[in-house]
Amino acid sequence: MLNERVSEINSLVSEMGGLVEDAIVKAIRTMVEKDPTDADQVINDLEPRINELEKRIDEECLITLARYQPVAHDLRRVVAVLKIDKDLERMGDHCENIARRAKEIIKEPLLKPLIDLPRMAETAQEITKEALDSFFKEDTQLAKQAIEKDVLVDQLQEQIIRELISYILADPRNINKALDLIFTSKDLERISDLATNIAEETFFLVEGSDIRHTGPKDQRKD
Amino acid sequence: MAIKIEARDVSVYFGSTQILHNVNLGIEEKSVTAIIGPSGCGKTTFLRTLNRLNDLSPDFRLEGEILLDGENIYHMDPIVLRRRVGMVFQKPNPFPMSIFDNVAYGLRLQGIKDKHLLQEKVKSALIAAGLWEEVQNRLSSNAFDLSGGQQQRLCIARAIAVDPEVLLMDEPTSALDPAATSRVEELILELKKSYTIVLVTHNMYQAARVSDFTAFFLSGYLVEFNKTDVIFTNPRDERTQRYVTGKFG
Amino acid sequence: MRKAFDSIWVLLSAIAYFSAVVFVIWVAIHLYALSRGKLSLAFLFTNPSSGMTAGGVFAPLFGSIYLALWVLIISAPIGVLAGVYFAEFAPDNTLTRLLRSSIRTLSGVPAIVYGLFGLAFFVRFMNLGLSLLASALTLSVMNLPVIITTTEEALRLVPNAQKEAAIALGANSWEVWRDVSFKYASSGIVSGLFLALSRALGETAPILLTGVVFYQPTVTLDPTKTFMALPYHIFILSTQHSKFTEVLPIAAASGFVLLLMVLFARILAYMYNRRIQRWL
Repeated sequence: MLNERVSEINSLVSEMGGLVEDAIVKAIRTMVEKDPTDADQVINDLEPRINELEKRIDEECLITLARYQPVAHDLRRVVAVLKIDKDLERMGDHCENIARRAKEIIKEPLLKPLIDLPRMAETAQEITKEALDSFFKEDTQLAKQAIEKDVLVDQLQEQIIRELISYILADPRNINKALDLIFTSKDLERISDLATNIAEETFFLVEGSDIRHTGPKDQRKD
Repeated sequence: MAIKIEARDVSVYFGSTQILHNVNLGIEEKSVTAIIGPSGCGKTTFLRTLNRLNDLSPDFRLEGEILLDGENIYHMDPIVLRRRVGMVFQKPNPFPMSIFDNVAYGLRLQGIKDKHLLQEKVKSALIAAGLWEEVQNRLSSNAFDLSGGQQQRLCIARAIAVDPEVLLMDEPTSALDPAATSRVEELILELKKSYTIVLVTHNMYQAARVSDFTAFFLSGYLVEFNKTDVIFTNPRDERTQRYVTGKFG
Repeated sequence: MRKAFDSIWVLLSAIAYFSAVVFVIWVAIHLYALSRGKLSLAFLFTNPSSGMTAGGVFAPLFGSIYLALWVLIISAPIGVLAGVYFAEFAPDNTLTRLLRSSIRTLSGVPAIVYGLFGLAFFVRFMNLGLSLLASALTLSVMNLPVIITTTEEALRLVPNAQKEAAIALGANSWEVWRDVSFKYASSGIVSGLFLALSRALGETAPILLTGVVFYQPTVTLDPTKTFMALPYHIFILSTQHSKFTEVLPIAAASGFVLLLMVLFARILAYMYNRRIQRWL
């Protein structure tokens, strides 16, 4: 009864996570391979499916709460999933943004060879995978690992921005292309943040502790 | 999926008192349909109409029709009807006989005498009711020696031994402790793969856990009937909402 | 204070109970003593002789048993079936209520009245003459109210849930009776039948007017003939006989035999109930 429902919900979240990971990879690949088909897939196939899954998972969770009144661990799981699927959906949105922008970017020669952006995307995808894994395996160590990797993503982003600013200063006509790349890095940084939110939910599930707003980034004081 | 048993414009009277008012309800086959509602709302009366058990009451009167696979149950022999539509009662009521004889009772009524056949059918019924392991070595002992939960599972085995199509259950777990209740609920989920189950329960949480469809009765009226998911997340009728949120009953 | 009162209550109940048992045992012992050695196996099987001053009690013994058999055969089926009817099938209307209360009233009518009825109806009107048959019929009529009432009461006590379980499995009303009602009601029904039996063995008034005689040389199975019976035998010996002191031991012995017979029947009923009750 309850167990079957929980399994069902888990596999839906897993499916959604897989689609998001796929979307991250394909969105960036468009720019690297200069091939719009990947972008089209993200926009027309993956992102709508991600949205559908969010609605489906929300409904499943609602029914599960109504019919089985789960408590303790089971309750935390359902509540965590309700938050996770929202994060995944937003990640999907950001992937769509990247894909749309990528289609425009590849119409012209690239401003510079892409090194850091693909690395950011790769790391963001890793964080997403590890966060979801940590949730299903209920492994807080893995979750911690994922959260700490986010620092890398932020560092890469700062690097990219510094580099692109120098391109802009070198030749102001570069500004549009540079901005496109900067915005893309912003999207990737947000994707990574959202993935760490998912990892935080693992702590909630396993320990019942709320570690939101206490991560490495939150520690930074200006 | 098909409708197995259906009530059309059913009204029930005991003497001059009307207990059920114009009930229209279609039970889908191989599913669990729960009937919920406050005490006295007519749910048990409705259930007992489905196997004509109400006929035993002297001033019972039925208006409307009840169809089993499209056939009016009052146009068939009640004995035949009761073989197709079995019943499990609120308080376990095994016969004062051995465990084996209890389960074999319905089969013997049908005229089955062959010992091997009886043994086979009794065994498979006890397995299906989740009781075989516990009683396989004492089939000839008195049924009353079993615990309450075991007795109820024995009654379930007895009912399914004759291979009915529909199983009516009248608050089957209300006399059992939580552990036994849980076992019977799991059993119901298994049984629905083979039988159409109609379950009257005063415990709506049980209805929420176990059923596919839920019918809410109030004062003899069918107020709402829908998939259980809907009834418990977004019921259409205000009265249903008040009942499931515990505001009355 | 409450505790003391409660103890007194329990004590009184115990005394009453034991008194009853002790009384019966005392009667038995007294009778045995009075019989002064006349009791023996031969006593049971020899006919009375020499104007009842010698011999045994065979004829009256046989007569009583044979009579009881006839009474059971006649009254048991009718009574039990009637009880079944009242419990299961009778509609709940004025006629039924009237019948039921009439029957209950009849069970209180004194035995001699039944005797007179038997004389008027069976002996005279039906032209059966003074006979065992007339006595058996009279005693049956006397017993019917009791049998019907106890049968009905016993059936009412059958748990509805059991009957419903059988019906829900497809049993018809005969099968419900055979498999459920009978088991639960049988001890009550048997008690009613036993009561009838003991009255058949012990009542004097009804048989007095319908067929019993003091002396009959031949013992016969023919119900149209008159017969001898123990209670009457004891009565005559104790009160009407001219040589009272001589026949007293025989009377006492007969009384003892009667007591034993009733006890024996009671034991049979008990053993039967034990067998049925094993499963309940």
